[in-house]
Amino acid sequence: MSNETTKQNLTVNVRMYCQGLGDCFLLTFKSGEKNFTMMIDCGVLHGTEKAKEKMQEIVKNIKSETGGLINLVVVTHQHWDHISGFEQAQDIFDEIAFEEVWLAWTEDPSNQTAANLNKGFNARLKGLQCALAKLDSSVRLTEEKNEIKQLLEGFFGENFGDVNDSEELGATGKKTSKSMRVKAWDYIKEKSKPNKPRYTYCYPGTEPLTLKEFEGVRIYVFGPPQDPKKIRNLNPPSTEQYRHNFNLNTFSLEDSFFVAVNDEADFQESNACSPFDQNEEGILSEAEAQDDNVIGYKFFNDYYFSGKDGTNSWRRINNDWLGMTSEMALKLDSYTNNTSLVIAIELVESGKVLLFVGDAQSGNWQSWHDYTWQILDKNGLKQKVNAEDLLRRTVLYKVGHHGSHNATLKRLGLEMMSNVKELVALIPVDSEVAFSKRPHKWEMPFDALLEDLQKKTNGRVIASDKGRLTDKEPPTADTGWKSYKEDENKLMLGEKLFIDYLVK
Amino acid sequence: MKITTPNTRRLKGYAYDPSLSIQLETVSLNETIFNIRWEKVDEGPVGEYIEVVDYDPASRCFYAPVDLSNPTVLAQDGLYPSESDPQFHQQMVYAVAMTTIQNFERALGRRTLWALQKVSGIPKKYVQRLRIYPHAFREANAFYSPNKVALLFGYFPASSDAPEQHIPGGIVFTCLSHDIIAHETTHALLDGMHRRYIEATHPDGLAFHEAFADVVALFQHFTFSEVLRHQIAKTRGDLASQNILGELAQEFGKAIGHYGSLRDAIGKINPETKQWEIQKPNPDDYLNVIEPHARGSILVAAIFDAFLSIYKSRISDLLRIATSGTGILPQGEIHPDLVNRLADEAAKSAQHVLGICIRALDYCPPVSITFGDYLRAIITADLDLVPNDSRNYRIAFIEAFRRRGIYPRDIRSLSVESLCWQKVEDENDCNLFAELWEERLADLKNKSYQGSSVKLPEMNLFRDFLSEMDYTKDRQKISEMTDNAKALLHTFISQKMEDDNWLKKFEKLTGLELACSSRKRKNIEGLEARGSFFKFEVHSFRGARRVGPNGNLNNQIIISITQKRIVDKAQPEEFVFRGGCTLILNLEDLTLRYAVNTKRINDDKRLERQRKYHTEFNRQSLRATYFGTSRTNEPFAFLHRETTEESFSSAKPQENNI
Repeated sequence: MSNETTKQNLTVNVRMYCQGLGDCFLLTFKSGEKNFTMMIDCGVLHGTEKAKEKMQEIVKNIKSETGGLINLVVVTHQHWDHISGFEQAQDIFDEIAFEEVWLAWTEDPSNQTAANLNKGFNARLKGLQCALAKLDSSVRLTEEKNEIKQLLEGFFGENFGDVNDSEELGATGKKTSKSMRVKAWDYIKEKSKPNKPRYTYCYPGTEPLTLKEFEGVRIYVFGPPQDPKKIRNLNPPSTEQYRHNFNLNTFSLEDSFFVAVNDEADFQESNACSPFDQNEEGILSEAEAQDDNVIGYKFFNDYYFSGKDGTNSWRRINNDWLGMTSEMALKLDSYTNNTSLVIAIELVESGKVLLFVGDAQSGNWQSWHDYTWQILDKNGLKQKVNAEDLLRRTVLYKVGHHGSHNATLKRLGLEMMSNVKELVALIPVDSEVAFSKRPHKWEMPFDALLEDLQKKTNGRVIASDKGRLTDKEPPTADTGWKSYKEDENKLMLGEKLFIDYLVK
Repeated sequence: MKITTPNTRRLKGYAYDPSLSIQLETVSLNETIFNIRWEKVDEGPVGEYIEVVDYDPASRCFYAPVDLSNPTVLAQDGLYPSESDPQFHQQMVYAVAMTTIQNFERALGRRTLWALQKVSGIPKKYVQRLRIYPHAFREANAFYSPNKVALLFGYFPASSDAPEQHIPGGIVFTCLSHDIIAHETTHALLDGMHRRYIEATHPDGLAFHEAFADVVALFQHFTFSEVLRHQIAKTRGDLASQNILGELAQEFGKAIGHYGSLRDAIGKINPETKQWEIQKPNPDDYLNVIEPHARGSILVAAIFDAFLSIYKSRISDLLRIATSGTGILPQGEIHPDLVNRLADEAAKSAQHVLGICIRALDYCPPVSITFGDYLRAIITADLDLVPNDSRNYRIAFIEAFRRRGIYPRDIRSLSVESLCWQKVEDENDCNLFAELWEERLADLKNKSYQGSSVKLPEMNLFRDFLSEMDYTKDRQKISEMTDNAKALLHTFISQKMEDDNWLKKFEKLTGLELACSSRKRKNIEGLEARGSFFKFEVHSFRGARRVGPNGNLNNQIIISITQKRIVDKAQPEEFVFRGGCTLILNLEDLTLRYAVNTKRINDDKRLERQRKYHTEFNRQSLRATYFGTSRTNEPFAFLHRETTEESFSSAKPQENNI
């Protein structure tokens, strides 16, 4: 039948753009006469040189490749290095129609858990911005502050704490500006030019999705997990902990920290989060404790402020309590990574799988193995499929989180990808940028992971910055390498614009 | 009539933490009296060893200091235990920290000194008092800061997961937990003694710090006689069953969402069945568990196991007497007299084990300690003080370590003889120091001493040092004497190094590399030379006077000498590799008894292991990805933060990330 023949010819061209530390992929499915285009993420790390120009060039390329119509846009998560393009190249995107947009269930406006998660997320971002401002006043902690800033701005963009949800505006009456990340994200969620796309919120473990008016492809949603514990693998809060409401008399550790860093918190709030009732006797304000005239409190002058010999400063703890900031920044980063939408794209006829994991971390990876899917095979028989099957059939793996150590699971992940003949790993990364982070380089890609990837792919690892990461010439019989094509001609600001890899 | 000062100051406090005071079963035991050696205590409290300064920067306020010398306070044994009174918190940290210090001093036979204040990175200035901040931050954490020579305690709202144990959102103060205070104080004491132990050069390094701090906190439980008797009665004398003596930081554990205490030396609650289960020793754990607290708990379990064997052997006759020879207790409660006798034996066993563990510190190598080294130190220290091991304590330790797969690297058999550090037998070697001393003394008598600002001792460096230390109450003076002795010894050795024969023997004995030009030798990467010799440091100089159970005296000088190499300079990340040895001198005849030289400076295999540790284990956390692995600023802060994180992770075993 004609249908059969078209299926056999199904190919996918995977285009990895080379903008630096950030993800942008354009997948073009071809089957006979039919085409289907799919974009996964579009962003680059904050602080990348000429970021805007690069993203504009990429989006222009996408526009010309797709003829101004992308059939499906998948956005994995809210990190700036995955979405910056929607802000930086907004004007070009305004001329590109999205037919459909897929987002993780955590963006579903009708989902209460999602709403809570987002509220908690925004509150934390805001709190972290306040904490950083506090750290600013400390000279000693400059290094620590810069590290945290580097992390938060890198992944959440500038003024990351300005989240401005409408409720907030109503409550305080104050208008806060929107951060760039929020602008990019709003653009995705409320795209209206030139048309309004159809939105699908992807829930893991549900029936495989298909492409609109394009046959032969099944898409399994692996993540993000719906169990909040797995998203926040590091710190599963009970739902109460997301409640940012002090009247309930329960507040979380983070709440109490955020109140402390917020200079605008009122007395009632501060008092609720204080360990002792601030109205009690024997509790001195900072000013009182420094006032030599307040009888009986010379103690603090002697032991904390001036010191009997004036050498107390090395033991002061003015800012140590802010040490938690880095921990919270890491947690928030992990959380956001774990909300990554993870999809396994199965080419039905050949059984090959393309795996796009966003930046999913261990909690997300682990949860994939909780599901089984029921599908009909070509003979119309019911078959059960699980993550392990799909990992075994994976021929293309988009390496999570730019190849960091914590976004590729070993036993429940990479080790299951056993197609040594065909498997190829794509790493969107700029190791020069990552390694240049100071005072500590970011290990992206992480060498031990790289080593394992090389083994599992028989040397077919492609990084967006350096191309093929192997010295030896691929054996001629190596089917996997045949379809590798580096874009030699189209240069972007002196560098290559993209790398193409064709899955047949 | 002259009224003498009292021996002790009595202070009320929690034996465990406030959570036990809201449980009917334990409420009556939890409030105890700490007997603190009498000292002048100012507002704060500020005493000889400790100063409590109660600043709460997150709440932007100060809590007025308690005055323990106020007659009203004195007359009622201190303030009543209360969570809502910050002044009681100050009293509590003072009482527990002082108790810990006293236990330490008793076992070591000398006054303890804190780590020195660092001046531009180098430890220089004497610090009289450990500073304690009872409310330093809002975080489920407490840590010892080596840079500030201070303990910082956090407070935090309890997690709402286990509302039956505490009011959800109620505040948990880490400064009200006996275990946490004792644990952190021990970190400070250990750091004052072995400042290189906070360097993570080996998976055992930080784990040892943690384990040791836990051991001290744990065995201090046995000094609370009420609790001890109650738990003995409850378990009918079987301390290997679930009891609160073996549990650490209960309130903290529950508040951060554990089902039980933070750590338990005997067993733990199975998160799935919620039932307490006895922990079976697994010889593979030592090979596989890397996270410092988890790895440390292997050592804690081994030591607790040794304690249980000792206790069991000590009470076997009592059980036989009480059961007309059968040794099997009848059903029901046991006789109160028997409870008292068993409690006595438990307390005695605990005191012995704690003493052995603390004393062993003097017999440890100055850098990169492993659990195997520590076992050898335990055996040697005990053999030195108690030559006749009639109760088989040493076998109990060896057995307990063996069950957990903890072996010293270089030992062929696990017998007392082979585990004991090798005695210095060669007569020439024994006299290396006596020789060093006599020659110098002759020199000094003739001409005035030049070349350094050190103060000259009148007679004998080693003997003077110890006897003067006996009569000196002033810890600052002890500290100065130590510095002086170290400088003097450094000069002596430097001068003596010209004697090639002596030097060869000395190098062989200590595992140091000193001669760099005089003899042909392969180049040692990263070792710095001064003149024709490599640099070395007299790292510590301590005296100890101990009395054995048979009245035998044991007077020793303990010296450690170290060297450092900066390796991988050409690589992106250089690191410091240290070597060194601990020398134990018998003061009677100035002979060298032991040279603990397992950390040779040119040990390439050890260097390789350290490099591997740096590259493989140290970078596995998310923190490592963004913030690097340097822990120089507050090593314990992150250590503890990471645990809290760990404990939040799901019940499933954690998947290994690449």
